[in-house]
Amino acid sequence: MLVRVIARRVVISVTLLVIIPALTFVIEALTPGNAADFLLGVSATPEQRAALNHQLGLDQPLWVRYLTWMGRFLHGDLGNSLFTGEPVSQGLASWLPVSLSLLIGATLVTVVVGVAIGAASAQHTGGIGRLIDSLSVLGIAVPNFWLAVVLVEVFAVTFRILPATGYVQPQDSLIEWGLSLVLPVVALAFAGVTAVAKQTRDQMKDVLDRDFIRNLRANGVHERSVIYRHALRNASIPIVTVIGQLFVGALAGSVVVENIFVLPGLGSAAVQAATSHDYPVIQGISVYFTLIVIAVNVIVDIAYGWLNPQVRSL
Amino acid sequence: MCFRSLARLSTLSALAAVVVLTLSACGGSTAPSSGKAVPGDTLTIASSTPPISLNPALNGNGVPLMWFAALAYEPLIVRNPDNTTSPGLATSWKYSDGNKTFTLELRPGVKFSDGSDLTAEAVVKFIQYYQKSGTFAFNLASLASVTATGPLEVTFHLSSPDPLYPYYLDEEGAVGNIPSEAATENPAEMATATFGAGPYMLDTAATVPNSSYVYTANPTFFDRAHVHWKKIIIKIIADDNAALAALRSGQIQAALGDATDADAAKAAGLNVTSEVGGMTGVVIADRDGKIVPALKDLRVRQALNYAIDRVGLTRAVYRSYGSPTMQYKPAGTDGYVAAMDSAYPYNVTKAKQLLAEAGYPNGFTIQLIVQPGVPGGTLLAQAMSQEWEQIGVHAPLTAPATFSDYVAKVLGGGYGVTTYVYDYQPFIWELNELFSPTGVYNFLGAKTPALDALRAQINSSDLGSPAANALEQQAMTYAVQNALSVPVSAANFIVFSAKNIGGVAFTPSFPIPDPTQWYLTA
Repeated sequence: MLVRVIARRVVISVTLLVIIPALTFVIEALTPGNAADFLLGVSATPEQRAALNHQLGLDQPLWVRYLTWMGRFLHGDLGNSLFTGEPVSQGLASWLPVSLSLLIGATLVTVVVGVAIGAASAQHTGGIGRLIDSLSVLGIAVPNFWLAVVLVEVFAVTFRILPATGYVQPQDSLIEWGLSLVLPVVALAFAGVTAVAKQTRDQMKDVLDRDFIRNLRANGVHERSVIYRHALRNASIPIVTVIGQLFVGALAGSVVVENIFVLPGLGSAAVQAATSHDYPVIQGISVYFTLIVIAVNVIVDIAYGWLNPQVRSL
Repeated sequence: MCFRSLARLSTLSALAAVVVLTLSACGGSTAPSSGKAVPGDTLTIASSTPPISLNPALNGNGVPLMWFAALAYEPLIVRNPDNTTSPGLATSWKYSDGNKTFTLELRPGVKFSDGSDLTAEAVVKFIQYYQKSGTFAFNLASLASVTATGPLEVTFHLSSPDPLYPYYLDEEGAVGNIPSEAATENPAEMATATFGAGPYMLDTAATVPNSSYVYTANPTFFDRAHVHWKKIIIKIIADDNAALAALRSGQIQAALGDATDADAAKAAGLNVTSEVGGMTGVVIADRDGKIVPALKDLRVRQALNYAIDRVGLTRAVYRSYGSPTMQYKPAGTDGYVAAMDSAYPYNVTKAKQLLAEAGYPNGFTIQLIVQPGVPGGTLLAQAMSQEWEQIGVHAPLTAPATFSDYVAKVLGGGYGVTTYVYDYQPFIWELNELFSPTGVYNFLGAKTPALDALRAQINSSDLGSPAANALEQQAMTYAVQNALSVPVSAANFIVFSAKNIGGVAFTPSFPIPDPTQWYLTA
């Protein structure tokens, strides 16, 4: 059974790795203009434009360009940027750690804070519960770009305790790296925290009403153990599902947040590459985004198995 | 010309924000650069866009794009803020043969940052490469040949008179940003590193493409007194709010500004340097009526001009950082004609009357395409469309999100009018690009023989002379009275800078903020 599950996951992953880049390629090609137009503007002669199109390989049929790209991709070669000539893999290696720092940081904050608030509020009814409900609506309603601007105004401009923009490599300074991520992580995590808190609270309340919880309490099990060891674990699968969905959703949010905080990650690079029609870079980023989604799904599957032995026996 | 870079600039800015221009109705306010210059360590400035390419032949022009080349490539001819010239890699230059031969004498003893020598052969090879592959190769259309006529002498032979070579070869014209001979022979290398003879050189190890470009002082630069910083960093900040926040928090020291943020910048204690920089409006490319026959009629084009409330529109779009205009050059520059400032007072009744006389009492429809990068471009286009609606001219908008999309749509035909922004520069240059048979904005090939004749005379003249100015004024009068386009506002360039940064200055004659001129004040 386990083999079948793994095989199914592999098939889905490979399919995604074929379909997503192909769709990206077609969408990019259907967008008016190309890299030569971006480089030359309206002023170039037709001959100059034709020469550059030929030089960049943009005069080839779409299917030829795609198959060429796919052939290289299957050999681990993502091609070179049309503008800098640098290998796309080199750019991705630089952008990925930035995006992962942001995404993983935001997810950790989402999980820790969201679950803690949700679990705590599940034990209380009335005011706190309503507050969580209100905050969850607020979290969904507040756009991350607006929150980002407010955070910058307060913590970077007014109090000057955190940087307004930029990213510091951890190897340069671990502390400054952390500080450079605080505001982006908060901006990105805010909606997730409230969503996870509400999900946790609702699931926990459901579990806390079950018979086995009453039995545990009747047998004198410590309340903290009842809540965090038994109830939370039983309530966690839907929460993990939500976290997985939030992580994938944060990929889109990171594009906005990276631009506002000037973080040189995959999102910023995607915007720049899309603007200039640098299709090898766009393709490379779409591959990495797809790989991230696949990895998250695998992690969620593993989490399911760890949290629920029944899943492992499927 | 700068329109392209600005367009790209906010192509990216369309995804974020940008721009720069605003008006000087209130007479641009240029902040004084007070304080004595002292050696600076690091100057960090923001650019809304990364370079299109680090290759000086492919990076376009205009701010901020030209900064990436200007730091590392000393031009053959340096243009000063007051539009005078100074020696760069060339120490002297002259025209002969009725503006058909242009000769440069190069500075001896100059080394490029890769250690090689400046030679006439290096200049010739780059000019030839530029003529074949450069972004503005069309400017060299008259160049029949360029030869090394001595170890340090270069001669340009032109097929027709062209007085603009001192402009093509300056830092804004981009053709004169000469790299080493070895780099020209291997252009791919120029996409990721710099090979100029300028005051700074790119630190490729510290640079993160599309994020942060680090330039360090070039130890071989011939004019060390002109190097004010050990390091200049250009950070790519596409969002103008983010750039302002970075300025206010002290992360950066200067950035291009926006009229909508100017008050906030002043309130935050920043210097706001502002000077009239360019014209915004609508180009009527379909003057021959190929797409919309009505546009061939002078009365119709004049009606489009009369129907625009330039004062109100300028105030709405550019606030106090712009002024209404009906012509192509600001006061105080060559070609300006004071009388043209009252050519088309706002008069809807007159506009309707002209349309009726032309046989279009019920108006007509024109497709207006919005060029990305025009400051306040979409708002400007929306306002103009509404104004024209009053006289029955329906002008639905197309607003491409990116510059490449815009280029594709314009080249694809179907659009006879487009919004645009044009940095002020010699009027003949503007005339060439707007109205010559091969002009970049004349993308439908409209013919104006009378103006072509005037352009030919100006091209053979001594630019800057009274005689040339008189010809340019004739051309201005012709272009305005024949309503070849709809100029609306003279918009300002704005730079926000920290209080301790001096040297931030530019003029309507050469509205190009140049960070190599900026210094730390005591």
